Amino acid sequence: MTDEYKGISGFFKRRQHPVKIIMYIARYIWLLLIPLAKYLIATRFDFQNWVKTNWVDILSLSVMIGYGILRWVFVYFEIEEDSIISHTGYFGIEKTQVYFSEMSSMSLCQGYIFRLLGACTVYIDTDAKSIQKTDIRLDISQKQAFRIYELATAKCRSKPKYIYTSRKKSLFIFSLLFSSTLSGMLLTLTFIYQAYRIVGREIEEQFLARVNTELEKLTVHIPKYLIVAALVVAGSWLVSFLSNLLRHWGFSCTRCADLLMISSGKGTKRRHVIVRDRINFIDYQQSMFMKLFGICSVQVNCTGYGKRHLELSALVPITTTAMAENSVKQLLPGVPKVEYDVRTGWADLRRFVMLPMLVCLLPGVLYKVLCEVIPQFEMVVKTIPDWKSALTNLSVISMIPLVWLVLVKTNAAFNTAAGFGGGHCVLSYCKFYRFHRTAVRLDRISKIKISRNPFQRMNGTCNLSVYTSAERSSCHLVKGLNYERLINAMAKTGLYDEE
Amino acid sequence: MKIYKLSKKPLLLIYVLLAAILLLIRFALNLVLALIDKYVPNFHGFADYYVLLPLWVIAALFAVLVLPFYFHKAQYTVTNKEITAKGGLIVTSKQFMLTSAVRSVTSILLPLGRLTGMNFIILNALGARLVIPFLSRRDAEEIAELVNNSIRSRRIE
Repeated sequence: MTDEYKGISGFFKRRQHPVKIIMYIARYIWLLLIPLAKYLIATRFDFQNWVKTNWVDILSLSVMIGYGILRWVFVYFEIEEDSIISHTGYFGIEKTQVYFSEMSSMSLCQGYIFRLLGACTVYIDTDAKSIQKTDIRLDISQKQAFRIYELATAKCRSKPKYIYTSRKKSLFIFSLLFSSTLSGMLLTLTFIYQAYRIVGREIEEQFLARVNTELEKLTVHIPKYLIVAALVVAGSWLVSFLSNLLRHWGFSCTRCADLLMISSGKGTKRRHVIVRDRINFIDYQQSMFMKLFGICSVQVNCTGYGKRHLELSALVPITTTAMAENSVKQLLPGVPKVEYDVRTGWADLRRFVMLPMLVCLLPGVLYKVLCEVIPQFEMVVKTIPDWKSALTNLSVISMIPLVWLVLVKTNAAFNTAAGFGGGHCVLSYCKFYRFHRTAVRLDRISKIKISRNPFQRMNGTCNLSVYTSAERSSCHLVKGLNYERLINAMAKTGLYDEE
Repeated sequence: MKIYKLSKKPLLLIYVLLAAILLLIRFALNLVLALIDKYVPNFHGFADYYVLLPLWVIAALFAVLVLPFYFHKAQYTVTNKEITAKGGLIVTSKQFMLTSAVRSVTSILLPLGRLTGMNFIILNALGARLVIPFLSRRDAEEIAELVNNSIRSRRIE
């Protein structure tokens, strides 16, 4: 043990930030603390009576706080010149030492409250674990966190740097395009659940009653279910948009030595360090609109980066395709430009759009069937008198994304390709509504699968699945490629043996 | 290069299992039908025709066509460079895994595996895995040893 960890100050230096004690017990403490405080106020601070009545609750609370303090004492860490050692688990019996040279990525996160308290969360990940778990996660003082950051990026001192910064207007568009209703809904539900746990059910009921009254006023012309659905979708999307915007505000990426240093965030400040050699693959992502306007977003897959709750693993958040390619060339100079060996085109158009077109017919068929079936169920007819107009609205609404899918797949027929060369594999494909252009280093490929159904055997095409090294199973599926040309290209690179 | 084929011994065991599952479904359906019969008379024949008959046809096709072809067509090769797997009846597939990508080998050798051929090898790589099922005990041990040797030599390098 080094001298700096000796004595009382050493004891605190090796421990996590004291806020961690509250974090250990925060999940349950509100359940007891709020009723106890309520009772104390109700008895006008008559402590004697309060203790006599609530001694079981007070005892439970003391045990919880004691548990928090004990965990905080047992979990500690040591910083060395080339590594960090953390003692975690119950009684600190799990000792993990991670050398900075073996690290894949490191993240520093600091929210509003943590910034006020001078605390910071540090995540360190390596390629050693194939399970989705961070190797080291510590909530420590800001000073110690920055010290770890300095040590991890020591090789960057007095080295030339290339810095990419994203324009605010671009980040606005990025957040606009990458926000999803589902993630917003998750965020809102988490917030509501946490609020419900703290303030109880009464306020929640009052809020719902108020919403209901407001809705009653609005439902003169528009059906209630449509208003609720529209509000949920729009509200959730807005939440997701705002959280995305705040998360990526002030995004900058710096290349220095073999590291990429990324910083972003308005409310919660984030700093990431990525070891360039440990990047599994880079992925240019585009939606149909982005394709039409010639813009794209570049994401990197590296163990630990972007895996935290609702995080995106952006390298270049959003810019024009040409600018993105140029920035990637500067940030990751090791990635060569590889030409595609196999492409799809006009001849494959029918195969790409056939299935989405058939799916397009589904709402119409369902509408017909339900129109025949529903009148036989008296209860449904009585409960929803305007069921026919509701059904028409629903089938029209559900038709829109399906028609959009046909357009996307039409575009995909001209944007599906695969190429091998320069120690890399490049794949261009469309997954649902999103276009991907991926560059994977050959030594980062875990498995390749070529599958063919009877129709594909007849027309000489196949599906190519490339599984890359990643924390979770990550498969890139390229559909409808010419079988012979693909096999030849793979054989040329030594990935396929004719025998 | 040795080509590993699946052991034919598990076929018999799978047929027995299939028959047991079908009998179990028949038994469960009889119980349900006995309940339904109280409220809807003549439902028995309907269920026989629309539930059991298709089930028997599917099971027969599976037993006569899918299983034998699956066992006949599946083949694996293991070299120091790569592991390949070919197979499939309706949707055929070829899988390639670089031996250098394999991080660990899981061998599942069941008791009586020598007699039943119920031995499995799972090759674990980061982000993917390749399962080689229904091998004879000797083949399973041989594949595990080959890949483990390759991992060991990598570590020495």
